[in-house]
Amino acid sequence: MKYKLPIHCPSCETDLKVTKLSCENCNTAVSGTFELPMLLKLTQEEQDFILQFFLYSGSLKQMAQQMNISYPTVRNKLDDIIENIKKLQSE
Amino acid sequence: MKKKLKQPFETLQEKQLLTIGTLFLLIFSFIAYYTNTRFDGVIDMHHTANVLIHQPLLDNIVNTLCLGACLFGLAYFVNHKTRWIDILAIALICRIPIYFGAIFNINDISLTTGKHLIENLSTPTAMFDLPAINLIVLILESIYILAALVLFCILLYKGFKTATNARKLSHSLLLIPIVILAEIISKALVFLY
Repeated sequence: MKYKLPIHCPSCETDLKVTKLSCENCNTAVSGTFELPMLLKLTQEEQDFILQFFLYSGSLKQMAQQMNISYPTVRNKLDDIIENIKKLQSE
Repeated sequence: MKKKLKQPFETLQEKQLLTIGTLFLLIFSFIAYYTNTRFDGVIDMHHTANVLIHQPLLDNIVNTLCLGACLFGLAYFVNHKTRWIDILAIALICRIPIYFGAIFNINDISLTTGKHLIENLSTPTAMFDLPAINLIVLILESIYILAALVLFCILLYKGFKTATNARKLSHSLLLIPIVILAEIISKALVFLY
């Protein structure tokens, strides 16, 4: 089962930070306070969309055909993600 | 299939929408010629005598282009990325429910009813001189036309929202004057031939 990465605090909704990274092989651990990368702050659906967009070399037309949805629907999703990223950047 | 019927503008490609819209336009232009029907405006349909073969076809082309052009003006204002092809597909698809109104004048039944009612405006009881079938068709057509107008509005709204990614209520409300404008322009053009 693939676990969903939580990005907001379940208690107060504040953005979560990475405080520990560890090596599965030798158990070395690094502690600190790190920002989550921008892409990880997006929803899983948005991340999947960006991955698909990348795999189709940025062709919205091809994406629309493969996903069986119309071109404007794909473009609207992309526009919404761009808007969301801009909002995250300005925060 | 259900999803495609419910959300045609989200699930069908523009080529499919254009093909379906054009096919309906051609078929119902032909049917309208046989049922003496003119589509003399974007949201207009009248049964009249002696319709020429080219008239319903030209009506539908003029109506579709007028609606498309007016919608595109608004769409460009809402979102510069809107494509003409998507707007044309909306104009073609949302008028399909109106085309079906032509069927109600088979054998000039609606035309006869209309003429009889206009000739006897001062004597309302004269409507009962008509055969029952005429009155039944009149009632069915009235109900259908109202339903077709509602469906036209729903398809137009949904299509416009998908094509432009419009979210503001004001953008959707602007569709009302735009359709009225398209209606006025198309009405003026239809009277030229």
